[in-house]
Order: sequence, then structure tokens, then C-alpha cells
Amino acid sequence: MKKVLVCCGSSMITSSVAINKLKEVFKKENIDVTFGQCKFSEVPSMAKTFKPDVIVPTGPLDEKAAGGVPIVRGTSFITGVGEKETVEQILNILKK
Amino acid sequence: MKISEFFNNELVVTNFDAKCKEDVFDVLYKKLYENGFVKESYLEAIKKREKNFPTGLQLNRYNVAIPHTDPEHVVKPAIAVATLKNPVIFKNMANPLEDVEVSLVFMIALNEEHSQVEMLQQLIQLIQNDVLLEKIIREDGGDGIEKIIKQNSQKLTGGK
Repeated sequence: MKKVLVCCGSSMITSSVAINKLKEVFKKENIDVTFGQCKFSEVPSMAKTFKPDVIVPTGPLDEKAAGGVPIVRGTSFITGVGEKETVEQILNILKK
Repeated sequence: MKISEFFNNELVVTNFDAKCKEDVFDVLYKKLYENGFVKESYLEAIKKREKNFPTGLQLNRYNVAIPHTDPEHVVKPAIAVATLKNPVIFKNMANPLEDVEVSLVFMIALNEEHSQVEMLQQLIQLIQNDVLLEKIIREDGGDGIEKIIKQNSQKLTGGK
């Protein structure tokens, strides 16, 4: 089971949108994924306890916060611009 | 809840002559507050959040901003809309060092975390649809914008 942590500023609006998009993608790709969702400020602790395979922030996230977990910026799930590339990057990490 | 249920012609300003994004926050907050959708604390919370986590979105044709804040400042869920006479500068959600010239603002008031995913997906589909955005930008008055969104609500499927 792969784990994806999606995070955003604070009110879980953009991260909810991103999770919904990713759910469709993983269903199509037939990959079993557990999602975590949190605020940017909670990423350092979630990186340790949830142990995600990849972190998808909807805005910029300090690399240090991720504790070595790969980050793929997910703003394209909101704008639609570059969404395909973002999906590919995430799938590449999960399929490793 | 469908996206059309969140829009209300009382919560729309069209062709608004704003000098900066704060002007837009002020005018939309006033509408939300006077119609009982948000608490007094909403305005400061929106401004603070926008500063820390900007919501300008660089799109294909018309750029959009989606300012929002925490549920504790909201009474009833709604989306307030402003179309701008001239674009104002927001910072880019993807990169806060970059400016985005925004023509259309959807100020979101949600009163529950993790809620309303269907509506949010529909809103995202709406802002990714250049044709619909152009129709909204060209509209004069809240009634017209409400109508466009209601008419197209069926097409916006909530990502399902």
C-alpha cells in the first residue's frame, strides 16, 4: 500500500481538490493508495508518523519540512496547467 | 451541495474598479457580512491568510484568485464573486514570489473543513474553462453571473 500526503495552507480547500483528482488517477492506474491530509505546518510531524512515499503540497513547501520524502508540487490540480506532468511525476515515484 | 447553491446575486460585483486586492476583499467581505454569511473576523483572516498562503492562479487566459480562510470565521457557506474593470496583482499560489494579474475573484466561505468537495471540484472545473470564464467576465450584474453558473451547473460534474 502506497501513501500520499497532500497538504495546503490551512483550510483544506485546495488539498481536498487535489486528493479528489488523485483518487481518480490511482483508480485508473489500479494503484492502492492511502491518503494523508494536513496543513503545511503539520508536514514535519506527518512525514515522521504517516511515513508517506510522496508529499504533494498545493503551494510551495520547504524541502526541510519533508524530512527526505520526495515532494511533487500539486498546484496544477487547481489550475489544470501542467496537470499531466504532475501526475506522471507522482506515478514515477510510486511505481519505483 | 451543487456549486449553483453557493452563488447568490447579492454576493456579486461586476466590473469593479479596484486599485489593489484589498479593495476586492473589502467589497466582497461587506456583501458576505451584510447578508449574514461570515463573521466580522472574516476580513482580517482573509487578508492574513492571503499574505501567508497566496491564492492567485496563473491560468491559460484569464487569471483567477480564490481567497479563503478557516471555517471558524464563516456562518453559512457561500462564494462571492468580483469581476474587475482592470486586473489587480495577487501573488501566485504556486510561487509567492511571482505576481499574477487577476481579472476574476471567487472569495470562498466554507464552514466545515473537508467538506463540499463536490462544489470545490465544480469550482475548479469552472476556473479551468476559458469559455465560461469569459462569459462571466463579460457579464454585467449579479443576475447574469448567477444565471451562467446555474445553466452550466449540470455540465460541471464535480469530477465524477
